[in-house]
Amino acid sequence: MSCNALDPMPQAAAFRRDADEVMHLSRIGCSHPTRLSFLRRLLRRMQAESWCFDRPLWDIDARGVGRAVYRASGPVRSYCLVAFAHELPPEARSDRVIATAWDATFALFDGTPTADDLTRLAANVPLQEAGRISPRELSLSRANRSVRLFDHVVERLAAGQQPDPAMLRDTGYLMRTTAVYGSGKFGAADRGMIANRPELSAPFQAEMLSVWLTRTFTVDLVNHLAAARGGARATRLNSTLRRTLGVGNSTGLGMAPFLVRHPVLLNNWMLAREEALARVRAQARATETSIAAFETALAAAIDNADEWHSTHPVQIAKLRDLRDGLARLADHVVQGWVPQAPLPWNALWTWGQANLPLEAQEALLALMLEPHGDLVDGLADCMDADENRFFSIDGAMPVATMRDILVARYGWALDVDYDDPANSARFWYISEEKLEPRLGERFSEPGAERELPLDVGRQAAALLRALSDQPGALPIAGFLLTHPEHRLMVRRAQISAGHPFADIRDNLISANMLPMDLLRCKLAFFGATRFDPRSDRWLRINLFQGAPYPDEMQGAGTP
Amino acid sequence: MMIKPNDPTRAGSAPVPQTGNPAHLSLSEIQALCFKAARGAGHDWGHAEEAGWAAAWLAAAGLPGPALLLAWLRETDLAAPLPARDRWTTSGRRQCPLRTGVALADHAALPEGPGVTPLVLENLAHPAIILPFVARAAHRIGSRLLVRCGAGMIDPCSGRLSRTPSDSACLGTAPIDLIILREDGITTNPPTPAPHYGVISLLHWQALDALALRITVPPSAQSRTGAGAEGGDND
Repeated sequence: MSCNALDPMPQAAAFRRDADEVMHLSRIGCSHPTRLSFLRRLLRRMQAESWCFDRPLWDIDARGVGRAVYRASGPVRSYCLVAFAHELPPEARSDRVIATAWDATFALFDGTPTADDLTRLAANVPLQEAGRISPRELSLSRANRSVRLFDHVVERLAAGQQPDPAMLRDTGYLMRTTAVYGSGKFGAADRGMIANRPELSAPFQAEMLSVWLTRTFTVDLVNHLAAARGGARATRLNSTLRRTLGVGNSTGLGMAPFLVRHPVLLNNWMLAREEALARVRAQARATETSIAAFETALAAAIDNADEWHSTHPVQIAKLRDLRDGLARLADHVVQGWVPQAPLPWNALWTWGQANLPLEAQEALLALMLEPHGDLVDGLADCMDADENRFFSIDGAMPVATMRDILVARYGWALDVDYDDPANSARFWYISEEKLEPRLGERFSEPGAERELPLDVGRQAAALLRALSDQPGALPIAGFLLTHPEHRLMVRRAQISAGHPFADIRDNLISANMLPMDLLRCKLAFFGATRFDPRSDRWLRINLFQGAPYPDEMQGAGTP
Repeated sequence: MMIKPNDPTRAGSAPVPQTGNPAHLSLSEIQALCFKAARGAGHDWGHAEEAGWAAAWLAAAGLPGPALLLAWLRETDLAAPLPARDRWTTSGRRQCPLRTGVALADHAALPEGPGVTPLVLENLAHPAIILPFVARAAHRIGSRLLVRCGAGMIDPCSGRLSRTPSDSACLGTAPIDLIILREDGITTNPPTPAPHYGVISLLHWQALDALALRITVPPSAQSRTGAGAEGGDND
């Protein structure tokens, strides 16, 4: 990873956590959003660059059907969310990929669409996966109403009243997206076409912009429907309540393999976050301002944990850990922590390691970054990756060097007995039905012969075994000629040699692996809150809850 | 295989009437489609991944990457290379361009690899598929590598390639003896050309898609459980 922003603080190196400590499912499955999360990065940039926002088109009828365009204009380029609002019978409302119709469908357009563009998009965007978009589009998405809350809000506003704050709090969004596709999907622009634009170079910025503008659309839609229904009596959703709403998202296993298939990217996300933590721990003193900002963030985290609910047993236990841990942390900050002592942040961190459950330790990480924007925000520039650079294998590497890498980086995988059914109980595959990744039970479900190569630990062990009788000086290119089945693992190991955070260091096919841990990690980097598993394989989250709206961006405080 | 619009079973890109013929696919769609198709056709994961990469590279260079890959995937009797100094042979059988290309890039900077002396790849089938790997090898050794096929000479790192008459042997499907030459003193650009779109006929798309489907697992009652909301979503 080459990132100048990492250079200015060599003294932080002594405070970095080792990948062996960080890269386990039990810990990454406790990830919390931080100020380096992608949606925060998007908002900060737009605010710093004084982006302008307008709504060039609003053509929605009294039933809530029609189209709208939202524009975000930066210093060089502008982007438009094109929204299509539909009438959807309740029986057709499904969050799953198998759905064929939605309450609203969207595309993020590169620039400002012409009438012809809108006509083309109207013929394709509502079809989602069954339509085609073009390189002028950066994302394709859809959303369904949270019917109960949506109807309540419209009804109240139409009657000239504000909605019940408790109901807003319970659900947290008017609509939830069920898929946000970017990066070349269904004909959209490839990542390579936009990766050099400063405003889109960080990961998932186009997708985040699309969701953020979608949030405004959902509020505009309830205001519009309330006005249509209530006439002169109707009022608009007030700005305090509006802030409490984000955009929901319903997601399944589809995004879990992403972290395995993008090792350089995962490394860079993790490394930036870990470097941020190390920088804060390396601070010799804590300023009064930073202490006050930390305490504010802690109070907000305690409130957030109180309002964060789940019915899933694993998540219920985690939330209990989080609430208990944050309470203990708050006590310690008042009674035990000495912010005037040397290296105060490191002292707080070390106390947390000894006294807090993993959930609260990772929450503490997020809290410690919060007052230190000047120190860590630049690291957000280091979280993208030119993965193509690492696709090529160094065939001249001797077998002995490859063996050393495997021992150094994959020690966690080498002694596992993969013949034990418990250690190979699962297999990842692509479902014919939906072309989405799923997880199967190897010994009771058909299809294991079509397994996806996400069993990194098992592959590492198999490669080391295959290399054991090879001459140490043999170039790995010679080995691959006769053992092409190890090619993926050879590349991964070479990547891992220079990217210590490239791998999740757990067996991803074991009986006790929880896919939700993978999802939690990725979604925290997005900036998702209210992580709410509905089974161990699908869940709901909230994006942009509490964030400013386009009309509040100036003077909203740093996101 | 043609599918209906709104077919609820397809989350990935698939041939649909909206597509047009020929269709324009993003490079990442081409890469994913050809990766899965190569795996579906029985290649190792590693080689399948290289096939997807090569198809996208060829498309970005202005060549019909998916069509070239499909023609290669339909072959059943191609030989693995036997790397040696100066000349890679396969004892009479046609060389597989994918396996040879992968080995060529892997052997960059090794004595058997390209760039040491002019290297002859004997009886190479579907020679265009070698070009992305020559470009990668050139990048690895930091020198320009040229590909000579009969009278034609191609610089794979030059950006967009086109089918001129003199290049037709390099870009055709007939097996040829191909020579890789080093031109010193010029550092090449990274091997990936500027990103843009690739073109594919609906027929080829459907054929690749049919191969890609072979890596998927048909649904079972067990596979559907837990994959999404079990209740309604009208909450």
